[in-house]
Amino acid sequence: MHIPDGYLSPSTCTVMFAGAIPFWYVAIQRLKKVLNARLIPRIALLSALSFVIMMFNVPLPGGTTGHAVGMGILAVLLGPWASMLAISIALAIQALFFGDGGITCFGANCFNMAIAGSLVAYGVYRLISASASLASPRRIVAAALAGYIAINVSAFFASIEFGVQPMLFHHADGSPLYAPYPLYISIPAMMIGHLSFAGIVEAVIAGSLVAYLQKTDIELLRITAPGVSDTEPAIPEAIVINLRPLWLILAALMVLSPLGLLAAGSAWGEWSAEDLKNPEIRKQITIASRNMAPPENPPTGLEMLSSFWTAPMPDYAPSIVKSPQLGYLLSALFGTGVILLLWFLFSWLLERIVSVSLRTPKS
Amino acid sequence: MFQRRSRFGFLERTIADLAEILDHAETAAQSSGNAGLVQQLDPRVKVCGALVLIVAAVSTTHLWMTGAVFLFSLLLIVLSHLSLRLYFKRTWLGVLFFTGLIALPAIVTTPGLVILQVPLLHWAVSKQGLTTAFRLLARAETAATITMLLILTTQWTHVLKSLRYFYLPLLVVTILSMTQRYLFLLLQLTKNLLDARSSRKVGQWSVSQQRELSASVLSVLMSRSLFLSEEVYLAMQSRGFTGEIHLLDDFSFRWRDWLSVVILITVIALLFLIS
Repeated sequence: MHIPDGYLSPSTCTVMFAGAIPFWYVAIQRLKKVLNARLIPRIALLSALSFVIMMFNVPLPGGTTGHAVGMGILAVLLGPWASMLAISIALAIQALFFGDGGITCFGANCFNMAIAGSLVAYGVYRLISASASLASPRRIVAAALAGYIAINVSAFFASIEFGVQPMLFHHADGSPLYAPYPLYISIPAMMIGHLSFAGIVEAVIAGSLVAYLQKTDIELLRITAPGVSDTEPAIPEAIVINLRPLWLILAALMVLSPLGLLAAGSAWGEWSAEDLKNPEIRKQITIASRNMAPPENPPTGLEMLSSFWTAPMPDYAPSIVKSPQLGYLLSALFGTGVILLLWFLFSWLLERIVSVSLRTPKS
Repeated sequence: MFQRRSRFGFLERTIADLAEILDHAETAAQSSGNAGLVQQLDPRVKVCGALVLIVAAVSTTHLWMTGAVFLFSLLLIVLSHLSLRLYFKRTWLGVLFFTGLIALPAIVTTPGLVILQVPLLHWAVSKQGLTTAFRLLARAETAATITMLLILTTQWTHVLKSLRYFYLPLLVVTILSMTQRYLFLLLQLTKNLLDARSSRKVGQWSVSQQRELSASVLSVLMSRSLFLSEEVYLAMQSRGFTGEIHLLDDFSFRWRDWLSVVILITVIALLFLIS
């Protein structure tokens, strides 16, 4: 995600610098206001830690590399303003001494990772952890999600910066002057890798380190959780939920799912390219749209993208099943099963993260 | 295939990366002490000059001008007694691989005048695509060459100190210098931790064991960082730190610094005038 020199135009770099300066200014002012000598070495050392975390590089498809930045854990340990300074300093050392990330793109890199990343990570962490006790497992989940969302927001910003280049800056012969890929390529190229891999690396690191701190030095978590208790209160018996009625309701809803067949026509706005060609359905669309007729031909973009992915069970009717009622029921069973499977997988992963982090570190 | 993967697993790769980065720092420290041309200049001139050259290489729309800046940097590399082989290995090859991988698809995805059809795949290579890819590569190589020139010819502490003259707040310069100082301690510590685990490793490690190792290494590093920050704070207090930060400003402008500023301005002005 470190944008090298030459990928962004000088005007984009200037805009990104201009965007970053007010945040840096506020961060320094806030730091000066609460400055105690203890904070200076802490920011410096955590900045160095962020550098080391960024060294755990993982190759990603699409020619880029994925790595954690440490924005999740730094936002938890330092708060958003000191965290954005610490990550900016780590990025400055990378750009100046190791040539990782461009000098002209320093503003953009800081805006994406240090500023947006820290603010998003802190916001998500505070939102999810709310008033949970310092020892609560909810804080681990909150830190993991904060890291995951923050790194993805950073990647999204970077993809936008890449994607606008060919639109805004091109030679007289039409060739792009800087990053050559438009938004429809740059966004998926950046996001697929970060949503699927780099985000998980960031989440695992943030979650693990918060779990470790809960065991070793819980007071450090108080900086971003003022006024909460250290220990988890015992859960009152009344709050323990009996899940059996919920399972029964879910089963009943699945059995009743073929009722959906009673509704005629397509949902408004969910028309396919074929629907827009069918005169009968076009009439229905016109009536449903307050007598506004749809375009003569389906939009080319819609037609092109509609063939991009073919669902294995189109219209909730597996091809091997002839009865639509049975098809609906099977689709409901399959869909619910996939969701439950994903949820169990997520719980299992979370349990693994916690169990790994709670083990005694080896040196 | 399996053996190859296990030989170059996460642990070995990370140790190799850490060794490379420590080696890079040592090389930079050594070469900045050489009696070359650029080494003799004031760090402020070097930081400013590097920035001006990078901006010139990146902002121009003419490929030849980027090439001219690259050649000018090459001349400075030679006059600074830096190894071109080292440059090739550390900078040019890395940028060629990374940017090349990103720029390559642009050759066929950029619309324009078709000059070649890729056999079997029937992809059209356009003139505009080739120019775009080459321009991106040239800019990235030139900028990386200049950055490396600055790093290899200037003591890192001097680079940080010179930033003070560009109106960077004193607080930031202090934290930056402290980070740079303790970064190498952390890197060395990480390498020692991984070396210690690697020397006790018997057989293959599963993915979950590797994950467990990274989590525990990072936990230890975080603990040590926080512990160290407390130690540094106590050391600062014991030396009478009262919150006032002072830097030793011992840079002085000499005739050769003025001369190099004039040459740099002339070169850049000439390039822009011709373009």
